[in-house]
Amino acid sequence: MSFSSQLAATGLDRRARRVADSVTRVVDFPSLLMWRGWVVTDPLTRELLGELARSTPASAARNAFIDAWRGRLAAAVRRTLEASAVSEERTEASLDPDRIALTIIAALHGGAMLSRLARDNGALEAALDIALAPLVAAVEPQRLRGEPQGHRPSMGG
Amino acid sequence: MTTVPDSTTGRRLTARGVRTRAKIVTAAADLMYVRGVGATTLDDVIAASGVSKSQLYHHFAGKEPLVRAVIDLTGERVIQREVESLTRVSTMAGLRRWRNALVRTNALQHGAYGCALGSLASEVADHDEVARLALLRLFAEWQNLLQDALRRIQDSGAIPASASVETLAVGLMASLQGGYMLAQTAHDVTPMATSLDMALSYIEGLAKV
Repeated sequence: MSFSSQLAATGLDRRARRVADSVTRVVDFPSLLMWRGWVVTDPLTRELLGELARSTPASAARNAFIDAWRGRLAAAVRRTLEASAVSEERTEASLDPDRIALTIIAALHGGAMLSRLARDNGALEAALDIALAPLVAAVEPQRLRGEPQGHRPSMGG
Repeated sequence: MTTVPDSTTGRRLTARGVRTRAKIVTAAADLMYVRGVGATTLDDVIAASGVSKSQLYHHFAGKEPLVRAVIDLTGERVIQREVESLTRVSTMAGLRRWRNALVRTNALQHGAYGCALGSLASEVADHDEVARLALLRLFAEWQNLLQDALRRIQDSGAIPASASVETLAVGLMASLQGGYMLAQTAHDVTPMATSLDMALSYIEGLAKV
């Protein structure tokens, strides 16, 4: 069964396609920042993340989607690093596009769950910013100096 | 005869009633951990716990109050585990040991079931406001434990004073929960290990900025 028909079978199709496609817009650092701003409020992404979180047991289609999403994100990270002329000689693990891609997905997943719990976007934004930090550090380190940016998350209790 | 109040119904329970209730909640928690809340029925719980239908309904009017009791029990177990492992963390090495213990335990089942508390939050928080608030309180408590550990690391100088340990704790928790979920989807602990490692590297790297 092709990836597309597997996706269609699970009903993830429309949302999964859109979420994975949005990543192809990221071609450099400014577009990465725009994507970051968009993804934290995109309702389809949240819906998709919610459904993936509830998926027990794991299914082949969901696995395939996560792999495809990770691949697209890794490609976006590569484009960003290239566009910012970050030297290819930098081989630290924290700049590995596949690892960053996985970290982004984990941050979106975990951050969305915590944000849904608190009815507050803070957790998602904090998580995503940490996941993107190695890229920011490589491309525009001056952004990272001083107090961390962004909304302070509120967790009840 | 000494009695204690049933935290679900408020009625007084004998020692035997307490044991029966505990059997029900424990069985329900185990089933829901493995199969998920949605896929677990009250009949499943009755079969697994060995209590009768009337005994179950004596303690729990339906599935919703039972799920809330499962949240309480699971929360108690997770917080106790985290208190034990996090209160001794005051260095990055200690934080890595915390990471290792969680990854090792999850590796035993190849990531199959995710985080007991996180899985409940994913399934239940949208449908039951009381459950959502209970889970929110539990995650806040867990996050405070992480925050305290990070503050101790910060006090020793390994994390810059300008860093917000509150934000770091949220990020670390999100990496942990996201890692658990990806490991569950992949049936492989590797995404959880990677996610946590990247978060810890980020925290360590703050000192060099």
